[in-house]
Amino acid sequence: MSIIALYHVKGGVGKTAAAVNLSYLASLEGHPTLLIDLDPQGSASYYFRIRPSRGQRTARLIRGKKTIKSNLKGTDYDGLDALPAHMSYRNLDIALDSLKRSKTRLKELLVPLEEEYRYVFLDSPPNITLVSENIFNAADIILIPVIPTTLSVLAYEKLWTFFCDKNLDSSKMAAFYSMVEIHKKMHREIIRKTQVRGNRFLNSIVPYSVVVEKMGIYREPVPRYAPSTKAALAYTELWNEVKRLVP
Amino acid sequence: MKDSLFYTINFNDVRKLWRDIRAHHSCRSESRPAVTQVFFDTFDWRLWQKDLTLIREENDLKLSDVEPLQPSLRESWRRKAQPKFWWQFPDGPMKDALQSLLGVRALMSLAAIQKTRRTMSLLNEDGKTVLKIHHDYIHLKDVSERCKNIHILWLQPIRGYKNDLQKFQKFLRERDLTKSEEWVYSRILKAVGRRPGDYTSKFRLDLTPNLNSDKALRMILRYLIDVMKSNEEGIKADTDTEFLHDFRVSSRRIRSALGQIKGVLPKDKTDQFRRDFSILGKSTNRLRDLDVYLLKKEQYRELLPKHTVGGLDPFFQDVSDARRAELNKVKKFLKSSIYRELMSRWEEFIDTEMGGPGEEAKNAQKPVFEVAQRVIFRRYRQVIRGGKGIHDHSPDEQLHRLRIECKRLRYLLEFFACLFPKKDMLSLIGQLKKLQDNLGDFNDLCVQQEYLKEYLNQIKKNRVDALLTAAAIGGLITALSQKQRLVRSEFKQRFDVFSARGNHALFIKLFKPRLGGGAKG
Repeated sequence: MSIIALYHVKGGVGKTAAAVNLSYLASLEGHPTLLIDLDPQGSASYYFRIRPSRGQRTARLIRGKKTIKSNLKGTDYDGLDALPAHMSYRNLDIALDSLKRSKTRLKELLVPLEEEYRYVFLDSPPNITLVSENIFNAADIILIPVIPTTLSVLAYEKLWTFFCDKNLDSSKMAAFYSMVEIHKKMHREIIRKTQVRGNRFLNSIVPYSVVVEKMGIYREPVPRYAPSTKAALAYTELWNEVKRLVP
Repeated sequence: MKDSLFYTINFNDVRKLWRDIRAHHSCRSESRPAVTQVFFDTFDWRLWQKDLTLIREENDLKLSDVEPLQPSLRESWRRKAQPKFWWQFPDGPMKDALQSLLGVRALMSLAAIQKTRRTMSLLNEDGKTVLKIHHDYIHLKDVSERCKNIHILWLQPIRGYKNDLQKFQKFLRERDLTKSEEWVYSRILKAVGRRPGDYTSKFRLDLTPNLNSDKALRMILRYLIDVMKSNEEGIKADTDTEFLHDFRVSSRRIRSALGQIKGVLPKDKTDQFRRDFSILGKSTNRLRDLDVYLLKKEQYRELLPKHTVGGLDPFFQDVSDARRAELNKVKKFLKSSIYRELMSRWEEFIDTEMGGPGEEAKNAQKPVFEVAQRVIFRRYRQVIRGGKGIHDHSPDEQLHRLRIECKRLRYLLEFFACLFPKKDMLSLIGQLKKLQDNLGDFNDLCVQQEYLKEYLNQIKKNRVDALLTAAAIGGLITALSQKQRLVRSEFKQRFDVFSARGNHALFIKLFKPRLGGGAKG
């Protein structure tokens, strides 16, 4: 089982879109796949049209009183399940803080899923908290969507510093450019510069696209409703690159 | 098996049901273009025995549970040829699984179907699918080339939406739809005239204790001849090496039965047939030997250090060439009038009842149970006598003789296993097998070394690779001879286990003839 986290400290960078599309592509290849929506806003859950079951509460979940399995929901696609987000996740930090081993709880939670899933995707909330540290510890790879703007790249570099300071394994981090508008000179410049520096950026570039924005309307993964668009191909390329990076 | 989610339905009901579902649920339907599926298994149903099947769908191979037909492993297969042996698969979980499932047996295609699937997804208020209902329309040609259709309704539950499944099952119950009692795969196989498990290399025959020995022996021989016949095609087509192996085992069993169960069939006839079957065995000996060398290829290579392994390549090439020539000979033999005539003469003999009482052999009318006891016990005593006479320095010849005695005993135990308590027989056969494995390995290692020595003498010295080959063969002989010594040293312990008090008591209890001894319950 490989655990792939999608993470960024900022919202609106294409994180959830990537989590949904990549997990869909993984399942399409016949691999049992799970997406865990840890963002209390629940965008991934919205895209998959799933709601949490009654009784799916943070505290119960992380204390292991209720197994994670009983809360899983099948999506519309064979081989792809999801754990829907719950509003109580906004208090996840507080709940975690009161526990022992507060930084590795998520990792422990995922152990029983080992046999069932080949890939687990984590869609993270946009902040740096105890939850994110749990995600960093649990994941085999942390994918970071970066919009090619000065501030976004800066934020990414800050995250590097954070990893180093906290003694986290920075080799897990891999960034990719997201929401790229290639006709903009600044986007092209920034991408070129980072390419020169060879800064752990993946080769795949996900373009800014109306097709991706329409996910909210169709509530389906992009390769499902617009399979031959540039955006769908970009996600496919990204997935091909990512799956080679994980065990 | 969990509660079945399959429903048998006929075509008209499907249309009505579809309308009905639409009227009562929010739903979306989709259909997929027809796909061709080919189902595979080995001749002796090794996948079926484990409730599995291998399906080729276009360029994909799927190893599936037979119920429901859902793949647990997939592998892409872009070759035009159908898959055959596990070692032809690309490295991966499928190859690993097939290695242990198939062994040396080849996959054979059993049935080809065309499947069209229509799916109705039931949606909740969010437009989320909560249950998928598939209608599989399976089209195939039956045994007599007539077209046949099977309609199946299959409910695919979605995780976390159990209530919706239950509600829909109730909906179907109200419409009197019956759950399918039979697996889809079974129905497909039945339609193409295949009966799963219709062949096994194990001896399986039911006899009753009071049956006339004459009848019983004929039944045994009939069974064995059928096994031989069913393996002929596979030998001629060179599907895999087990066809010849099973064919030979059956022919040996026949010879053994005729030689051991005496006084039941007329002696003059059985002597003639024993000679005939012996010729038949000899005419396939060499092909089997060559098969064994090729099957041992990897094992042999592992016995040698890396830098001399290459020397085995010319050897295996020669074996492979010799095998091709030998296979042609065997094929020709199976088609020859000599063979055909022997078989028909033989079948006629075992199927014809004996004439008047004067013609009958002395044990013909005795109950088979009595005869079985007597022949098994006699053979057992011979095995024990033979084994006890073997010590650390006994000549090889003595072990070979014991090996043959054991084989005879084994066949008898298997022929008559059904007449005695199953648990006891399994235990005795298991114990005997352990001893036989030791003796068999010892013999194989002797034969192999002899063959290799002979090969060594024949190597043409002017061949470029002569030296390297000779070195490799020499190394192999050394390794095999060391192995043989090890096997030999284990003999005594194995024999002691076999002849231990518990086994001995069981042999006496089951087989020692008693006056007025009765049959099993």
